[in-house]
Amino acid sequence: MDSSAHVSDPTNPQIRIRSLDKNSIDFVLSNTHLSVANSLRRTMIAEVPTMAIDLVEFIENTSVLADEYIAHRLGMIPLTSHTVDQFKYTRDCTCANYCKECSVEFSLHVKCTEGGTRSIYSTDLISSNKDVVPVVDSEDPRGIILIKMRKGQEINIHCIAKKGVAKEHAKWSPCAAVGFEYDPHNNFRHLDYWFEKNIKDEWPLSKNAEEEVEVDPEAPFDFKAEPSIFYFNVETVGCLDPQAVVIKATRVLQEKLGGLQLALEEDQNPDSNANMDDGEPWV
Amino acid sequence: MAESEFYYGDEVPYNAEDGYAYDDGDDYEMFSQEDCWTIITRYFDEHGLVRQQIESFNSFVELTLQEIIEESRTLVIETMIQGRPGQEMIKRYYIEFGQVFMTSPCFYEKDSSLTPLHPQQARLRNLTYASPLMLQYGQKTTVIDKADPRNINVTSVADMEAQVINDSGHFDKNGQLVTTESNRPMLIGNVPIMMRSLYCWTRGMKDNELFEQGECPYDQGGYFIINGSEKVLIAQERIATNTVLVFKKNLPYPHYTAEIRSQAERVSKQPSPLFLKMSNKGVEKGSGQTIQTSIPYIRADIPVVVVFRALGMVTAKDILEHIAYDVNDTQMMEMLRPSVEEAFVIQDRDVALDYIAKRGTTVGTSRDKRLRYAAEILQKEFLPHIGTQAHNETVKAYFFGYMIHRLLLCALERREPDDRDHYGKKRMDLGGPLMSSLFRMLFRKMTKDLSTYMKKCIDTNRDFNMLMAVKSTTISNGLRYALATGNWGDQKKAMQARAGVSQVLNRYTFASTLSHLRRCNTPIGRDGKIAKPRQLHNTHWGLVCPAETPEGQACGLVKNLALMAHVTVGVPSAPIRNFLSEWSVESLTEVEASSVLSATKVFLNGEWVGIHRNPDELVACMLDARRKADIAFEISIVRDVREHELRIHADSGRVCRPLLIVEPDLRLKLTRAHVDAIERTDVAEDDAYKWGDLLADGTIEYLDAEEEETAMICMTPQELAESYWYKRTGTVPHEEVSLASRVRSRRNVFINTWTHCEIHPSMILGICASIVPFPDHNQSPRNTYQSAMGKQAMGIMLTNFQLRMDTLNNILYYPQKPLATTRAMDYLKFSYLPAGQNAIVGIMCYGGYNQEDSVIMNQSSIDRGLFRSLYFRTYQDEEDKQSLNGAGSGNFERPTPDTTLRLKRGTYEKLEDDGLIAPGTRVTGDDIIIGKTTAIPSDSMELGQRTLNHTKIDASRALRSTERGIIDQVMLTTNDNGCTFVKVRIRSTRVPQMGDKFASRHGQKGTVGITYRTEDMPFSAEGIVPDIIINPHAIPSRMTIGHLVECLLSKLSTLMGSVGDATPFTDVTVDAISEELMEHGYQRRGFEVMYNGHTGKKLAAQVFLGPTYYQRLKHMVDDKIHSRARGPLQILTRQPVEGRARDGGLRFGEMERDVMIAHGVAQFLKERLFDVSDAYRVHVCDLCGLMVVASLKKNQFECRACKNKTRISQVHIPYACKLLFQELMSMNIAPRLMVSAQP
Repeated sequence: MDSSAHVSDPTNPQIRIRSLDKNSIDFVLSNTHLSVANSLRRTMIAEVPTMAIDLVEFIENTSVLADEYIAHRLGMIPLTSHTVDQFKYTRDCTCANYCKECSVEFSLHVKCTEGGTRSIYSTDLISSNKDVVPVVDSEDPRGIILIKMRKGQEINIHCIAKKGVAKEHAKWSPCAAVGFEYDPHNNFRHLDYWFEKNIKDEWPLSKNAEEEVEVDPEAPFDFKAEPSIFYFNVETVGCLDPQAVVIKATRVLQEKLGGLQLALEEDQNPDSNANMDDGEPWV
Repeated sequence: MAESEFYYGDEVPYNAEDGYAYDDGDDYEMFSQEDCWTIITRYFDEHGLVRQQIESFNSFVELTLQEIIEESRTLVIETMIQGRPGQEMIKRYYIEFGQVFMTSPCFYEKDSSLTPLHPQQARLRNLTYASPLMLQYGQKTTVIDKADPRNINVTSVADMEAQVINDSGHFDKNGQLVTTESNRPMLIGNVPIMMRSLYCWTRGMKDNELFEQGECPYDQGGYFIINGSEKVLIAQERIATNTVLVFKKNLPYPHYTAEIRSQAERVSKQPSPLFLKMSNKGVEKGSGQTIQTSIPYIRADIPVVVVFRALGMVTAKDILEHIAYDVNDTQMMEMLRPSVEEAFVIQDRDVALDYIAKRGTTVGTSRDKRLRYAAEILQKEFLPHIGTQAHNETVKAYFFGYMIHRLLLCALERREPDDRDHYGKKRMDLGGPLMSSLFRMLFRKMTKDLSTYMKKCIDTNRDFNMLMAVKSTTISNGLRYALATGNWGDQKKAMQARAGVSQVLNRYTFASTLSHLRRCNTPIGRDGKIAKPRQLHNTHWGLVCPAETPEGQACGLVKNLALMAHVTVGVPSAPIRNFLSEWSVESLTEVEASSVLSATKVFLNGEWVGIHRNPDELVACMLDARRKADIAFEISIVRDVREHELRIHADSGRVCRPLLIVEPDLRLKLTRAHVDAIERTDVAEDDAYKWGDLLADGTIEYLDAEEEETAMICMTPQELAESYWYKRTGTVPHEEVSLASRVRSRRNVFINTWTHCEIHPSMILGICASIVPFPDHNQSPRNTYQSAMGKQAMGIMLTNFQLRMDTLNNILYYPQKPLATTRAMDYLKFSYLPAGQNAIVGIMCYGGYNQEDSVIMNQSSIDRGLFRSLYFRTYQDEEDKQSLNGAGSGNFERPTPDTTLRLKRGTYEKLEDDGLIAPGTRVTGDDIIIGKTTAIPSDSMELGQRTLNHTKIDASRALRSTERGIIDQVMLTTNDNGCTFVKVRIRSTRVPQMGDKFASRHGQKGTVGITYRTEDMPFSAEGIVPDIIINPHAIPSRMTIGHLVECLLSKLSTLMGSVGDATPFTDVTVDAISEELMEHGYQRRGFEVMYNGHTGKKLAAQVFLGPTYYQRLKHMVDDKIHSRARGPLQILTRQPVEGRARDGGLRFGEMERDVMIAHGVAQFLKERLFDVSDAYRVHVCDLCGLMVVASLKKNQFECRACKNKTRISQVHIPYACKLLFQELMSMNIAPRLMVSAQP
C-alpha cells in the first residue's frame, strides 16, 4: 500500500461515517495529521459543553443516604443538552446566582408512605425546561435509580443544572468512551510488539485493519511517513447526539485555534496593541 | 475454567452424575473440589467464624460458674462461747451457697427501674452489657456443747455438731438448700455477657428482629460491650500443663532436663512446676551423672532416689523397676547407678522425708512436724495433677519414675529431645478460661469480705444481714475493670497483671473485625531475640494462618486462627476414666512395675492412669466411639506405637481441625449420599443434614496437632483416588502433561497408608489471607503485608453504621465485590460487606508521576465517584455530677463572654441555646460543637481576669482544628450515673487526592502521585482508559505474580460477565485464562496497544491492562498534612510543642544537626536550635557568674551576693539551659557563666 497517498493533502481532512446510531458514531478521519485527530478526540471528551446538575439545595432529606452522596449522584445524571448553546456559562452571566439564561432548575419531592421499598428514578426530577431533562435509556424508561426509600422517609430537593465542560468536572463530558486507532498493521512501526512465538498469532487485529493493507515488512521502510487515517468510535452518554458531539468538538477546536491565531497575529504586529504590553518581548 | 475438576487423561471417563467412574465396574466414588466446598459451606453456615469465642464463653456461663461457686461452697465461722468454766461451747455460723442463676442483660436506671438492656443501647449510652448473677444461699448456726451428755463418746467435732443444730430454716431434712422468703437468691454481681452467647438478647434472633434492635445481621458477636465500647478477649497461648518435656541444654554445661507444669483439673492454683536435672554437680569426678529434682517449696535440689524413698518406695530394686521397667537394661541401669549411690545414706522413708523437710522453709521445728510437713508437700504440691488426696504415693512414684525414664531415654539418645514449639504442646486460653480465672479470684475476694464482715458482726454482736454483707460491686467492678483496661487480674496489682488481654474491637473493616476475634497472643517478651517461638512450625498447618501475623516486634508471636480451626472447650475426664477401666486398662496400683515394659502406658490429660496389654483394640474401640459421637469429638487419641504410649487429651484450649476420614482401603468414609443430603437441605431447616451428623456418621473427625502426628493425610480426594487406583490396578494413573496444566508437587500415588484427607488445602489460611486472590502465586511476605493492609482498607464495616456512634469510621461510597474472588470469601461475607473497588489498572510508565510506589489516578474517575468515602467522627461529652464543694459541675449551655471566662478560639455561633449543635450544620476547624461550662470555685480569682459577672469557666468541645464536615447526628441521653451526656457525629466526604494511599490485594501499596483527566490518560484503541497506573518496577523484585494473574482473570471476568475464581490450590492456570481471553479477541497475556493521551501517538511498549481490585487505605493526606511557622510552646521549656494535633513544631533532630555540622553551617544551626526554638536572655554577674536580679523596666540589675550593680553582662542562652542551671542551683550546684570581654 502506498501510505504516502494519504498524507498527500493534510489541508483537506475528510470524514467518512461508517455507522451511526443513537449513542455512538463510528467514523474514519483521513487526510490529516495525528495531532489534529488527537485534538479532536481530546476536545470531544473534555471541552464540549453540556448541562449537568451543579447545585443541590436540600429542603428535606430523611433517606439513608447523606446529602452530599445524593448530590453527587444527581450530578452524574446525563441531561439532554442539544440546546446547550442557548445557555451562558454562569460565570459569563449577568445574574447574581443563577437565572434562566444560564441554568435549568429541577425539583424532586417524594415521600414514601407505603410499606416496602420506594425507588426514586432520574425521571422523577421535574425540569423547568422541557429541553433539558434527564436522559432516558430505551431499556428502562424510568431512567437511573437515585435513591431507595422506606416508609416514612422523605426527600425534597431543588437542583440547579448549569452549563459546563468536562475539564472542570467529568459529569459535563458528553462522551463515555472514545475509541481511537490508527495504523492497525503497525506499518509505521510506532511500536514493537511483544510476543512469545509469533506476532500474528498473538496480537489480534481490530476490524479497522480491513481498511488498510499491510506493508511488506521486507520492503524499504519510509521513516518519514506519517499516519493520516484515524478510526474513531465515539460513544456518548446520551446528552448529545453522537454526530453533534463531533460537530461541536470541531467548532470548539476551531474557536480555540481562532483565538490562538488572533493572539499570534497580535504578537507579530506589536504596534496594534502596543499599549497592552510595554515590556521586553519574550525572546 | 474456574470449575476445577480432576482430569485423568483418557483412562477415566467422566460421568456427569457420579463424578469419575473406573471402567471395571468399581463403585469407587469420586469427589470433586465442589463436593468439598459443599461440606465446608455447611460448616461455616452452622458455625460462623467466631464459634470458638462464643462456645468458650458459654461453657464458662453454663458450667464453670457453678463449679467455681462449688469450690468454696460453705463458709464457716467459729466462735467460742464462754459457758461455765472449762465448759466452752463452740458456736459455728454457716453460710452455704447453692445454685447460681443468670438472666439476660438488664440495667438499673438511675431512678432504680430495672429495664432490659439491649446491646445497641449499651453501645450508644456507654453502658456495660452485663447480666445480674443471682446466687442461692442458706444460713445456719450450730452450737457444739462438748459437755453435752450425748457427746461423751464422740471425739470428732463434726459429729457432735450434727446433733446440735440450733438454728436453721434454709435447709430441708436432707440438708439440701431450699429457697424461702428469707433467702431469695441474692445478687452477687453483674457479669458482662458476650454478644450472641447464651443469655444475649440477640442469640437466635431472626434477621428482621435484629434490624429492629439496630443490629447488623452480619455481625457474629464474640465480644463484650464494656462502658459502651466493644472489647475482644484475645486468646492467650501457653505451654500445655501436665506434659513431660525433656530437653538437652548446653548452658552452662551440657546436661539433660525434664520438666512438667502440673496442674489439677478445674483448679485455679498456679501450675506447680517440677524439674529434673541430670548433672555432675556435687558428685566426685568420674562417678557419672546424678539426677536431681526440684520440689515446690523446697529450696535445694533433691536426689530422685530420696524422693522415691520419701514416697514410701524404699528398696533400690523397686525404685529401679519404677524407672527403667526393665532391670536387664544395663545401659539405663548404669545411668542410674550414681543416683542410687548418692542416696545410699538415706534408706528409710522417715529419713528421706526429714531430708526433704530440712531443705524446706521449716527451720527449728520438731522432727515430727518436719515429717508431716514433707509428707504434706509431697501430697499437695508434688505433681498435683495426679491427685492431692492421701494415698497417691504409688501412682506418684510411677509418674515420677516415668519422668526419669523419659529423661534417661533422651540422655541415652534413644528418643529425641522434645520440641518446645510443637503446637500439640500448646494451649489457648480463650474467653471462658480467662473469665473463669478472674471470676474465681473475685468470688474468693467477695467471700473473704463476707466472712470478715460476718466476724465483725459476731464480735460486735450486731445483726448480720446477708444482703448488706455481700457487695455485688466486687465482682461487677472487678470484671468490668479487667475487661475495660485489659489488665487481667486484680486492680490493685495492675502492674503484675497481664496487659492487653482485652482489646477494643477493631471496626475498620468487616474482615478486620473477624480477624481480631480470632487473634491469639503469645505472652513472651517482645524484645527477646530468640527466633524459635516466632517461626512458623510444621504443626501450625491448618490451625494457624501462615501469612497473617504482624511485622516487627510481635512478628510470629501474635497469630491468627486458620479458617476451620477449632479450639476445644474441654470435656470432663471422669467418663473417659470409667470408659478406660471398663476396657480393662489396668490401674497402676494393681500392676507390677515389670509388666509396664510389655504393655502400653495409657495417659489421660497427662496423668498416667494405667497400662493396657492390647492397645490396638483399645484405640480402635475409642476411635469408633468418637466417630459415632459416643464420646466427644474433641477428645484426642494419640497412639504412639514406638514409645508404647496412648495419650488421651480432653482438656480445653487445644486447637484442632476437621479432616475427612479415609478407610484402610483408601476410600473416603464420606459417600455421595452424604454430599447429596447436605445439598438437598438448607441449614435453617430442622431436619437438615448438619455438621454434627457428618461427625456422627464417622465421615469427618477433628484432629489436634498431637494426634495429627499419627495420621497420614492426603491433600485432596483426587490424589486419594490416584492412590486407590494404583493400589487396585498397580498402574500409575496417567498424568496430564500439557504445559497448560497446573504444576503440581510430587505425586504420592504409591502411598497406601492414608488415614485422613484434607477437606480443602485453602483452609489453612486465616481471615485476612483468605481475601488475597491467588496467594499461592505470591512471594510469601507479600501475603503477610496484605493481611496487615486489608485491615486498613475502607469498606463498609457493618450495615448498621448509621445507627452507631463510633469514634472514627470510614465508609466507601460505592464498595464493589471483587471480580476475582476466593471461595473462602463467601464465608467472610466479603461480597456483602466489601472493602474496595475494581479499578482498571495499567502497569506502565507514563510521565514519571508514578515512581517509587506512587500511582497515577484518573481524575475523571474520581469525579465520577471512584474511591470516594464518607468519614465519620464522634465527639462526646457529659455533664459533670455536682461535686461536694459546689464547684466543678458542668452543664451544657451556650457560653457567653460576659459570664464565662477562658472562652476558646472557635466560633460559638453555631450552638443553639441548649449548648448543642443542630444536625446539618457545616462546621470547620476549631468551631465549638458542644457548649459546656463549669462553675468557678468561689475563691478563685482567675489571675485577676474575673469580674463580678463571671461565674463560669468554659469547658466546651471544639472540632479538631484540622477537620471539617457537617453535623451528621446529635444524640442526647443519660449514662449509668444518670448524667446527661451527648454524642455528636460529624460527617465529611473524602475525595481521593494526591497523597492518599491505595493498595491492591498483594501487598502493593502506593500513594497518588498525580491525577490526570481522562483525555490526558493513556487509552486503548477501544477507548478504555485506566483508573490507576502503577509502575512496572513494583513487580519484579516483589514477585507478586498473583497480582498479574488477578488482573488477567478479572479481565476475563468482565468479558464473560461472571465472577472469577481465584481460590488458592485449585487447578486454575494462567494458560487456561489466556486461551479464553484470546477467544474474546484480546491479547492472551492481557497486553494492549495503548496511545499517549497527550499526543495520540502509539506507545512503543504494550501495556498490561485490566481490572484489579484496589483498596483505599485509611491513611489520607488531609489527616497528615502539617506545617507551622509560629505556634504554641511548652510551658516548662518554652520549646515548641510536639504533634500535629497541637499545632506542634517539626523536630530538628540529632541527625539533622549532624548534617549541618558536617556541612559547616554554624549560623543556620544556631538559628534552628536557638533562635527558632527557645531563645532567652539572662543577666549574669561578672564577678560570681550567677544570674542576677534584673528589672528591665527600670534598667536596674543587682547581684545581691556580690553587692554588684554595675558589672553585669547580658547573655543569650536557651531557656532550657537557664532551666537546667536553676535546677542545678536547687541541688546546691552552682553553674557559673563566667563572661570575659572579647579582646
